[in-house]
This record gives sequence, structure tokens and C-alpha cells, in this order.
Amino acid sequence: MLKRAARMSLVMLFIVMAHFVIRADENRIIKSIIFPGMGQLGDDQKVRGLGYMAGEGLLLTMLFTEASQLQSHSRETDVLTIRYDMAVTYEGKIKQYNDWQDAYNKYSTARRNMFIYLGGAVVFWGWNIVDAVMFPPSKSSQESSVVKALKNNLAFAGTPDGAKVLYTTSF
Amino acid sequence: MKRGIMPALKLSGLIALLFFTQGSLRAQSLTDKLSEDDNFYKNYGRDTYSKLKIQKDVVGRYDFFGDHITDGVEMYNFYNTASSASSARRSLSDSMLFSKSNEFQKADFYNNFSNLVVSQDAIGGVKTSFLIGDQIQTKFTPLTFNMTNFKGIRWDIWSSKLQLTVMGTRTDPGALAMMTDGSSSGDANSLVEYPVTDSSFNANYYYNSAYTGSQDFSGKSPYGDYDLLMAAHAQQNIANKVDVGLTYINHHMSDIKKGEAWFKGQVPDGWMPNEIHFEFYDGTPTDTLDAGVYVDDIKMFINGREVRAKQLYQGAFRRTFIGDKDGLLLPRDIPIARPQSGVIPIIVAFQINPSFWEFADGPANQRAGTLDTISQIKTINFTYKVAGNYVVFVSTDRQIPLAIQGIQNTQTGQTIYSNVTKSVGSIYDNKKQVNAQPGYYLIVPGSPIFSTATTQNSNQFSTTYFGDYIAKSTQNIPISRDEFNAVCTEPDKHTLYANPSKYCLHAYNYEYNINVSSVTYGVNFRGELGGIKFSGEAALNQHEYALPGSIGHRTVANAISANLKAERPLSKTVGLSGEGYYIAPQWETNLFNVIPSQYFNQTTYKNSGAPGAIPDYLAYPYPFGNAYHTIDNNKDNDPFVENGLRYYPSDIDPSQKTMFNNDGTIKTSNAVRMTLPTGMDMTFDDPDGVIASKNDKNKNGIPDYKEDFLLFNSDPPVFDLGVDLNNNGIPDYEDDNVLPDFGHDVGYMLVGNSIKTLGVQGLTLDLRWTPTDHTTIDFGATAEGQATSDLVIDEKNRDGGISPPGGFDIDGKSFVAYATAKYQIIKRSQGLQIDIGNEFRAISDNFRNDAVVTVYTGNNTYSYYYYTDPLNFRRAVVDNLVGSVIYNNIHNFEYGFRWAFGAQKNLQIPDRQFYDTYTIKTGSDPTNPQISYNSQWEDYSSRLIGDANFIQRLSYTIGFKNDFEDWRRIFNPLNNLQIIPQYKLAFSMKREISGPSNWNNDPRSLRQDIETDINGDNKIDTLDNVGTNFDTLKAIRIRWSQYNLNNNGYLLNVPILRLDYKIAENTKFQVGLQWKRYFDLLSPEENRFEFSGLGQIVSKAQYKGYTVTIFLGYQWGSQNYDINQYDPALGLGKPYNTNSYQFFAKIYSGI
Repeated sequence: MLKRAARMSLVMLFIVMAHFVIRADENRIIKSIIFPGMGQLGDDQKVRGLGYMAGEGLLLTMLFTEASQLQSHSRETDVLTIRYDMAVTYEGKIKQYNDWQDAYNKYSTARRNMFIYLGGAVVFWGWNIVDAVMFPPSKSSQESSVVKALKNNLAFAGTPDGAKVLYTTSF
Repeated sequence: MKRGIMPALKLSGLIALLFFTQGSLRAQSLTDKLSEDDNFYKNYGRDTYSKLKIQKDVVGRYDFFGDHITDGVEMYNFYNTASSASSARRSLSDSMLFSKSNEFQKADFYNNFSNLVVSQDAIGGVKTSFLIGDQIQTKFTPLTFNMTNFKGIRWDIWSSKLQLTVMGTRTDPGALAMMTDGSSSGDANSLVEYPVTDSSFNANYYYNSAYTGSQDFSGKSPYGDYDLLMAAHAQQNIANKVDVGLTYINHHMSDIKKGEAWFKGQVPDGWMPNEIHFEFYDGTPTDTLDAGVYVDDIKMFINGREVRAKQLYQGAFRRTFIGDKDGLLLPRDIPIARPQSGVIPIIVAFQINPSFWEFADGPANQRAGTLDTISQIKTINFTYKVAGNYVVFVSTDRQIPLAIQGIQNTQTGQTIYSNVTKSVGSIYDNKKQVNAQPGYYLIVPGSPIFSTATTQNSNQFSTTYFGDYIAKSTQNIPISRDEFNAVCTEPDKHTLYANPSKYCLHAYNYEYNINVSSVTYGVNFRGELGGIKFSGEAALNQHEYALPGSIGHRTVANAISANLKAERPLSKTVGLSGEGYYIAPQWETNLFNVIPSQYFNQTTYKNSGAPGAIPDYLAYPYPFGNAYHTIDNNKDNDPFVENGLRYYPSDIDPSQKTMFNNDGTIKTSNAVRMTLPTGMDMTFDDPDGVIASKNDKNKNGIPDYKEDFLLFNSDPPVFDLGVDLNNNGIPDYEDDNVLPDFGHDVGYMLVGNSIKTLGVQGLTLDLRWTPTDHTTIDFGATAEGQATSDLVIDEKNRDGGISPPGGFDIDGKSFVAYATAKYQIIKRSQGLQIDIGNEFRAISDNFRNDAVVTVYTGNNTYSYYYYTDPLNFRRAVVDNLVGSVIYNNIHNFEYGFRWAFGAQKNLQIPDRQFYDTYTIKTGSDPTNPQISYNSQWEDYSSRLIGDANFIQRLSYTIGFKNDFEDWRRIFNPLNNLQIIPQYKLAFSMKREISGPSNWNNDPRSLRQDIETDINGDNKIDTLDNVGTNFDTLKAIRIRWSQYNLNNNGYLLNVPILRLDYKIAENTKFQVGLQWKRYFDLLSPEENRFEFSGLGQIVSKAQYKGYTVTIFLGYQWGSQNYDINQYDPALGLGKPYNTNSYQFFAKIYSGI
């Protein structure tokens, strides 16, 4: 029963997503995939777009910082292991051991944080795409956005049903 | 009372009348006086100030016809004057009574005219210009004359059809500058005279019989020789189709005692040597186990006849030495017992004086005749047989640092002066005598000791010899010294090699003489004929040589260089272009300069006493040369020529004048230098860096892609195609070298602190197809090779020997075939630009293209290091795929993405070993990284290397448009604010996928590196501590260098926040904050976080016709390494973090 409900939920989610994806502006999605916030920014959702950009930039910065720390402290533990072997006095060995312990703790912290920020960056990036798909700008602002674009790129078409203004773009 | 008053009134009136009368008289004269004073006095508040001290010294000036020229002063005068005496009974040949070559320049020439006077005139369609001064940019053609700072007299005529330039200068003694003795006042003379008077060499300049090293000889000639250069270039348009130019350059040496020999030149008799000595070097000095150099025989010929030692001088006529590790000379015999391997040469010294020798064509042990005096010698020739890895140098006992040896009669004032000498034999003898008392400088054997030294050096009992490198082995031999010894000493008995004599005994001839003239004839052309556009030039150079004191006999060496470029469209979309070029070995259109000896170069007479003193070989000037080059090495095309000493700038600060010699060249101690792989220093004096790069906009010697804030818009060259056509790992636009700018890089070898060029010959072809407006496809090939593989230019001097083993000799040859395609998509309506390019290259590069790399050391100072070409593409195929996307269709937003993928396959060259040199960062001092050079024999192995590079950048500009009228109007000034967040993410990774330096095979040993610094002071303890169980430090570094060449990678994450606030129309307040994370994928010691902050006010204004920009600001930053783990063995990491702060106020003015 539970499995069935879960399966149904997934199918529903897929249908809902498909619905939004089909309706969505592919330009906006592609831009959001390239870098978070680009799609929103392109649709004049400036604050949201900049927020996504800043957030992802921050998460990536933290991720690379932790990855760098992880690698560095791994090297430090290797060095201190050798220095521990080379130490000839008891005090020397104790000092090297304490330093090693400190370096190892930093290494462990960096490893944990790196995965947290990695996950955060991936989820944030993904959520930005979902946002681009599901929360496009309101119609009025979309229209105004289109009108703004048409100022630079007007296109008119005549059909048996009457005249239409068409705006198409590709990326 | 009345009666009493009246006289008083009358008296008062009289006095008043007198007073007023006098007053009016005085008033009249005062008016005149004031008027005069007014004429004399100028108030520069009203009138423009101009500095005209000249007005105080005016006298009438007349020409030789008596016509009045002007009322003024003599600013500049250059003249040669001589008078010879003769009588009916005997002529006085080889002697002038009074001779003088003088260049005079008034200090006003500098002060008022910045050392340049130009007179221009025109009549009809003809214009003319007359220039006297220095720093005159003069360019004829790339192969004949190309100087940024020509100093002399130049006359130009221009018409629409014909252009003509005629010019002349005295190049030695050095050109005059504004100063004498470091002062800007007074006049300056650059003087050569005979007989010598106190005006050129006063009593302070010479000693009874010794050496004065501190004297500035740049404006004087102690030996009576001077150099003149005369040149002309004419260019004419023919039938509006072709421009044809003709060039003539004559650079010659003259002797003031003999008088000027126009065009031919001559050399003072005083240069005749007493001793000529040869130094035979191992061409692979860092490998002491390989073949080395072997000398079999060397003979001297006088006037074409072989000579031998007189019976009495068997051990003195020809002396052979080998140095030992303590710098002592050890006597040896020729043929030497076994080859010499390592840095110490075999030295063979010949006495020239006839008292030591006799002609050898008489019966043995019988007097066969000799000459009476040294002046009867007309020619001196040598033959020598040498084998192995050899480089041969020759010098004399007179070619030593400049000095004058004079004796003055204090009663008559007459001075007899001569050249000082120092022979190899005397070095050996003096060493034997005073070896127990080191610390003395000896220049003349048996002379009083002149100076003492505070530093000890193994060669202090030596001198620095200048001379010439005359031969080298065509190809180095990788076999061991024992093998070579066996093969070479008994070639007939040895069966190890099919033809062992190939290894042995190359015979050469050599004639000792001195270069007295260089004459160049050139023709250049440019035009279009038959639909073919073409340009090119050809030049013939003749260097003429003479023996001092020998009349009549001259030797001439001819050399030809040429190039031709042509291009022709084959259809609307296809075009063909090509170029052929040949540049002769040792191509120079000036007198040759001598080169210091590799072994005898340790003396520091010029700067004696100071620890780390400038060696004599860098002292300026040196014998036979002021380092005058008619073709610059100046790739960045700025006023600072790399192969010449810097001239004083015209806006020099008075406090800096002591930095310069009397002739205006910078003193060597203040010039920028770099160390060469030979171990000697070369001045490389471009103070603002040599990167001619589009990647160094602010010309500070740091590529913009490594510089704070600038790195956002600048990327490493890996993303561009075709930027490293000489395959040395450095993009060509940053690829400065130590060669003159001929238009093509020539082959060369480093000798001493200089180079000997080996010439180049090459051919390039390119077929370009442009199928669409945005598509370009190129197919092409380039083949080039050194014009010679040894240093011998004249075939008559190559007197035997066989080509080296190995069949086709690939050293010094290069071949590249390529196919390149570029495609561009531009969609302006969508703000989109996409570029894609791919290149495939098949490369066989055995042509060494070393480069000079600029290192910014802070405070506007630079240092350089010499980067050796790793020759990583001796036989390889390479493919690079690059691309970029630029998107800017979102308002105020820019996005860029670039990628580059590369693959390189090295194809093994079997049965060959190469003597490769690596440039290695030693890291022995973390505050001052040093470079060392290590060479070794190695194979060229099969390798597969790949690389991937990405860059992503985003930038957004946030602006405000507030127009409030209520209380919120306080936010209206935000309209002047721009906030610019930027973000750059870069990734680069290069891996050797298969091969000896496979990326899984990191050669670093952590334990080994740690053991080089057991005491933890971040310096290498000693080589002994590296441990006997490990390789030597040299091997560690070479292995890491090889590995690091093909395996590296990093990730760069850089958010930037910039704020611009417009205070006024042309005044801005700017703030920048940058957080840079550098993540090294190979060396965790290098991982770091760098923060940079900058706040500045920038104001621009127009002031007196100039655009003046004022900067005022504060800069701060920090560099924090993740771990302070410094590796002194390889120079990786840093033992500490740094913080920096800087306050600055700058003003720039532009036109």
C-alpha cells in the first residue's frame, strides 16, 4: 500500500513537473542550468537571480575551501607522521603526536564540511532549476519583459485569425 | 617776527623747490632704472617660464667663411683632428704629432634640449630634418640596422619618391651624456688623444706600473683606439609598384696615433699580444662521467711557417695546464693523458715573442732562424686537433679588463703609457710564489701589490680574459669517458664502434687577429607584381681582421643573410603565402665584441673589496667593445634595450645621476642582471619587464591573469591557438630571448655571459581557406635549422674530422606541419558569440628556444630568470580543441565560458640520448626563490599527455535610479553608485597518461624532502643530509621538474566585489574586494587563500594641455596557506603567511 502510494506520488510529481517543464520557457531553464540565477535574471527577477548566484557562489567557495583544507591537512598528517618517526626524544615524539592529532581533527572537520557544502551546492543548483521551471515571473511582468525585448526585436505575423505579435528566441 | 618768518619760508621754499626738483630728476632716473630693471627682471607669473641659461653666455658665432651664424654658445662639437710631420729625409709613418678625437657637449644640451636637437626645413616637395642627440629611434631593415637608442648625427631627406638617411657616430669611447663626474653642470668631453695629456688622463688615473680599476673609462680610450660608425639608407618607389631600398653601414676601429683610416679601419700596435692562449672546455660540463674534451695537438705558425720552441725555452714557449678543484693550475703535456671532463678546461698558452721560438722547417736541434722583433710578425696561425664534447676559446695577455699603465716624468710632465698585460704563465708562476698569501690582486707580473681584497676566491691570482669562442663539437657524445678515452687514444685497435675514428680528432685552423671593420651592403624591397605581394631583403656583410702592427695583411669574412615573403590569392576563398629566410651564423652588422672566458672570469678589480662584488667581465667598457649592437634585442619595443645598457632617461632625477657612467649608460652595479646556465651573469636591462604581452596591460611584469582584480578579464594562453609556434612552452608574445630581433630566432649557444649565434635557414608555407565569413582553415608547414652546427664559419678553418655518429643529425632542426580550423558564430540580436577552434600539429622540434622570464620583485623592480627550452616536442603530435562562449543579452550581466582540451603524443626516438638542461626552482631560501640549471643525458621516450582547462566568469552591474522628493531623497545619491559583483571559476589539469613521468608515478619522496631540512629552519641542511640511501638533490629536482612539466593542475575560485561611486563627473571613489582560493591539485603545500582589498579615489582633469590623473588610495591583503609546510628541496609551499598594506598617491599625465 505504502509502496503504491509512493509510486503514485512519484508519478504525480513527474506529471506535475512535466506539466511545468512543457509550459516553461526553455531559455530560462537552460540559463538556470548553466549557472544558478541566470534564468531568473534574464526574466527580470533581479533579486531572486542575484540571490541564487550569490548563494551558489558562496556554497562553491566554501566547498573548494574545504576540499583544499582536506587535501592540505592530509599532507600535514603525512609530514607529521614522518617527523614523529624521526623524533629522537620522548618530548619530541609527544609534540609531533599532538600536532598530528590537531591536524587530523582539522582533516576530519574539512572532510565532513566538504560533503555538506557539496550537497548544499548540488541541491541549491537543482532547486534553482526547479524554481526556474515552476516559478516563472508573473504574467504581467512576463509580458512587460517581452514587450521590453520586442523593443529591440519586433516581429509581426499575419494569420487568417488576425494579426499576431510573435516573439521567439533560441539559445 | 614777520621778518623772522619770511626768510624761513623762503628757505623752506628753496628747500622744497630743490627737493621737488631733485625729486623729479631722481624720479626720472628711477623711471629709467626701473625700466631697465623691468627689462632685466621677468615675472613668470605673467610670462611663461623657459629655462634659458644660454642667454648669459652669448657671444657672436661665425662659420668658417666668416658669416655670422648667431649670438649664442657652442652646444655640441664632434671632431677628429690630426697633424703629421714629415721631412725630406724620412717620413714619420705610424705616428702623428698631435691627434685628437673629441666629442664635446655642453650641459645645456641636456638641460634645455633633453639631448636632442632637431632642425627641420622644407622646400617644394622636399623636406629635410637634421638630428643630433641620443635615443633617436633608427630602423633601416631587420637584418641591417634597428636601434631604439641611436646616438649620433642623423640627416633625413624626404620626398614623395625618395627617402634618404645619412648618419654617423663615434661608438667608442662611449657617447656623451649630460654629466661629468655625476654632475649635470659644466661641459662634457669624450676624448681620445695622442700624445696623452692631463686633460684625458691626469695623474690620478694611472700608477707607476699598476692597475686602477675604479676609473670610469666610458668617455676615454686608454689605448688610443676608437670606433666610428657611418651609415646610409635610401628608399625609392619605382613605377608606383615596388619600393626598393639600399643600405650601407660601415663600423670600424681606428687608431688615434696613426690617424683616421676612413672605411678600412685599423688597430693600435699596442694590442699586439705577447701570449695567445687557448682554453678547451667540456661541452657537457655538468656530466663528469661522459666523454669530455680531448686535445691531441696544437701548433703555431708565424708568417705561414710552423714554429717550435727554442732549445732554451722548451718549457716556456708552449705551456699546457689543467686547473684543479682549488683553482690552481697544474702543468700538463700535449697530447693530454686522458680526456678532461667537467668545468675546468685544458689551457694551452703560446709565447709570441720571437725570442721564445724558431722556425720548425730547419733540421731538428739546429737553429732554424727566427725573427728579430715582434713587429716583423705579419700573421699568426694555429692548427689544432681536438675530440669529444669540446668548446674552444682563445684570448691573449692583453685582452683583460680595461686599465692603463703609465709612467709620468714629473719634471717634463710627459707620460709614457701602455697596455697592461697578464699571461697565463704569470698566473701560474705567481700562484706558486705567493700561494701562501692569498688575498692579493696581481695584474702585472712582478709589480708592486696594488690592492687587497676582503673576499677570497680561487681565481684571485688570475685575471679575467676576454676573447672569442672559435669552435664547438657539432654534436655531443653520450658515451662514458673511459669508453671515449679508449676509442680516442687508440682508435685503430678499438672495435666497440663500427667507425671509432668518427669520435676522434677534428682538425681546425685558426688565425689570430682583431676585427677592425664591419661593412654591410643591403637591399630591401616591397611591392606587388603579377598579383603576388612580396617583401624581403638581402644583405652582405664583410668583417675585416688585422693583426696589430701588421701592415697590409687583412683577412675578410663574408656573410650573407636574406629573406623573402610572398603571398598570392588563388581564388576568392583560397590564398597561399610563404617565406624563405637565411641568417648567417654570427650575423652582426657591427664590430664584434669580445666575450669573457668561462674559467678566467672571477676577478673583481673594478669593484674590489666588496663581498659579492660585480665581476670584471660585467665592468663597462671592456676591451674591444662598448657592447655596441646595431640590431636591438627589444621585443617589447620600449625605450629599454635588453642587449644594451640602459641610457639615462631625459627626465632623470638628479639624485639618480650617480647611477650612470660618464657616457650616460647605467653602471653595471645598478643594471638588472640574470644568471645564465653557464653560471655567469648577463645584464638584461629592461627595468619595466620584458613581457611584450597583451596579458600585461599595466606593464608590471606580472601576467594579468595572475594579478589581483585584473585576473577576472584575463586568461592564461592555453585557451588560444597557435600562440607557441616555437614550441618552448611560452606563448610567443611573451617569449623574449637573448637574441637580436632579426625577425626570426636564430640558433645559438651560450658562451660565458654571452651568445654565439649559429644562424638559421627556413621555409614556411601556409594555405588559407575561408569557406565562409566566419570560418578559417589553415594548412601549413615550417622547416628550419641552424645554419651551422659548430662555430666555424669559414670552411678553410674546418680542416678535417668526420660528421658525428647517429646518422641524420636532428640537433638544431625543427619541422612543424599543422592544420588549424576556426569557426565563429555571432548572434548579435541574442548577445551571443561562440568561437570554436582546433589545431593539429606534427612537430619535430630540436631547435632550442630559451626564453627570459620576468619576475616582479616589488617596488617597481624586476628580476629575470633564464628559462631553458625543455624540448618537449622533439618528435610529437599535438591536438588542441578550444572554444569560448560570451553571452551578454541580459541587461548589465555578462557571462563567459572558455574551454581547452589538449592531447600530446610523444613518439620515442630510439638509440639516441640528449643532453637536456632543466630550469629548476631551488627553493633554498623561501624569501628569495633561486633558479638553478641542471643538465643530464636522457632518452626521449614515448608519452601520452592530456590536459583539460575550463573558465567560467560572471559579472553583474547593479545600479540605482532613485528620484525621490520626500524624506527618501537622501537615497538619491545612490544613483552615483555602481555595485559590481563578479565571480570567476577556473580549472586546469594536465596529466601524463602513459610514459616515464606517468601521473601515478609522482617522484617526490616526502621523507626524502623532509630530510633535506632536518633542523626545520626551512633551508637545506647540507647535501650530505640528503642521505646516502637516496638520490642526490640534483636528481630529485630534475625528476620533479620532468614530472611537473607534464603533470600539474589547479582550481581557482575568485569572487570579487567592486563598488564605484561617482563623486563628481571625473572623480570616482572605488572599492574592490577579492577573495581568491588557490587549490593546487598536485602540491597541497601550495593551497592558499588570498584576500585583496583596494580603496582609491581617482580624479581626472585637463591641466596645461595634459590629461592628469590622480590616484590616492590604500591597498591591503593577506596570503594564508592552509598549512605552512615548506619544502626547501623543491621550493614548494611557504613557511609563513603574509599580510601587506600599502598607501599610495600617484599622478599620471598623458597627452
